[in-house]
Amino acid sequence: MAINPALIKAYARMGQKGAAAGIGMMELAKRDPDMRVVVADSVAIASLDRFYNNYPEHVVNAGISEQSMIGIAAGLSSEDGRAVYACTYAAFVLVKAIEFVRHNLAYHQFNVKVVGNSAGFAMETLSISHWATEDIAMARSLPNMTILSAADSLAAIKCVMAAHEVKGPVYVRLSGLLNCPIVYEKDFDFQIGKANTLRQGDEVTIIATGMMVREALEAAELLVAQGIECSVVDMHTIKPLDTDYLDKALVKSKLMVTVEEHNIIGGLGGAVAEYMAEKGNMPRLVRIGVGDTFGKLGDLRYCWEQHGLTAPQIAERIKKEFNK
Amino acid sequence: MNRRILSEEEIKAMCKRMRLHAMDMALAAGNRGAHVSGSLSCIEIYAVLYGAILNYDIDNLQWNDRDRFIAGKEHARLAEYPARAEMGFYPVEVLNSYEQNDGLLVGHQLRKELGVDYASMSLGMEMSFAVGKALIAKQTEQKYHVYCLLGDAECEEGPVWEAFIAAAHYKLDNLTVIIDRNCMSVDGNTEELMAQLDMQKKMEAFGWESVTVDGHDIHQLMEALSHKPQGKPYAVIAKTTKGKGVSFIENNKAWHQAVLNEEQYRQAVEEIKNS
Repeated sequence: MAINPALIKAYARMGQKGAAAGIGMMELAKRDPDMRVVVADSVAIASLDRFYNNYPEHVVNAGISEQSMIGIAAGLSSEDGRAVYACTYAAFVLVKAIEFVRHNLAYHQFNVKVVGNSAGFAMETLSISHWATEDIAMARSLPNMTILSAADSLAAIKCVMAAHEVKGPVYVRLSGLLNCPIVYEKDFDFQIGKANTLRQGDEVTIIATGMMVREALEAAELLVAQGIECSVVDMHTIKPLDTDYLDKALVKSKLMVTVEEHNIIGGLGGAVAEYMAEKGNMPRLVRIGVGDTFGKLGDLRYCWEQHGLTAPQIAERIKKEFNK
Repeated sequence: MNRRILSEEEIKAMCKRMRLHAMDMALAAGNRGAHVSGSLSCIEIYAVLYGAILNYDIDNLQWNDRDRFIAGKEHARLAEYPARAEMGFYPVEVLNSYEQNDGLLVGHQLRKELGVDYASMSLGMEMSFAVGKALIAKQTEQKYHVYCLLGDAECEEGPVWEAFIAAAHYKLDNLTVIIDRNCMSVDGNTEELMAQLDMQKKMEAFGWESVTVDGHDIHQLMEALSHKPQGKPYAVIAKTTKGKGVSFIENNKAWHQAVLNEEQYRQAVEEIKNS
């Protein structure tokens, strides 16, 4: 696919899940006629209308039954190892169906890609049932899982397509709303397990994932204006973690920061903290994320504000921690 | 293709040997105990499936057209393992390795290393997998039939019913489920604890073809399982006795998982031999 700035703007308007399903998975179906998509009454929810209209025979609707959806996906894949994408809200597919994911994906390693949409607080006032702020932690604790998290719509396309290259289970975490802010203004190289450095600066390394990548970039601008040099990296692969990148960043940085729209326990911050603790003799780490609480409900930005996840709040927090 | 089809008389004799194997394995499990009674209730079901119904090639276990068998009712491994040993999937001596550290045959999970169609290990998870297998067979025009064995109390798990709905919706007439209706779960009688009522009617209401048979009657099982439905999935409700064949285990909830001592072992073996 030739990707130009006009396309990137169009993808952004579609939001992460719209671009992933409407562009990425459409392309995959063209290349791989064996591919299947399983939904739980979530053709519309997962922005699969166009996909369904073009490839109705590729789509299996399990009804509103996310556990059964994962079981059916595993069964569909089990005979010839074909790729099966299971798509619905992250809160339902991963959190509700976790045992089915554990046995069918983590243990059996069937070639099933769980695409969790609208992770974090993207479901806004539909609130806690529809939010997913524990999903990365749950997926990370399962053996054999690859975990991808998209920073913008183009990255979302890259995530679902990269997942197809993996012969085994993948959790693709998509978040945000329609009109997803652009992080990647031109085409870029997406390699599973290889973090993308978006900005170089020696004093603070900000490792972000998902929608927080864009916020981290804006926070870095604010910090640089105040004389604090920052690197910003998109850690789109949370498992396996890019420890080569971390090794380099740890040497040069005075402060390490993780930012995620997820509980600070068990997610990106948890993964980086675990790695750094075992390395020892490291700079300090600040984990910015959801502080092990649910918080007040409201629109996306309001929810972010409750947890200090907007760019100005992130900059403020980093400045405070840096000057400690 | 190498597949021995047993007669009803041969299956009866196989059931007796399977019960004896089950007792040997329960004894070998020692103080860890074994799931004894739930295995004894489905000995005939397993013997009929492996002895006469399932299509497979014993010389080529991964033969593409073999029927797929998804074994729920995880507490029935003392029926599953002997059935497969009796039919030559592995030597009968392998049963001696039951519950050994890192052994092939363990008390609940079917290990992947056995080459089974699904390494089932948790109640309520098999049915949706079986639906996926049956559905992809339809879509890719595969010849195999999918069989799935469930316990009646296992059907208290909600996802089983999610998958029942999907199987009927997708008209999976290449799918047969056998429900071991022994009317007992860990805590006792299902109809007192969580009544399943008339399971045949339930399955019919869910859009399945269904029949109820005596799950210890070889002939009835053979007849019911030989039937291939048209346009809908098929459920055989097999009425059984939990612990069938050993007097002190029958309908005794203490034997769901229990330690079999030497004296009990001798009595059980004698009863089975004299039956």
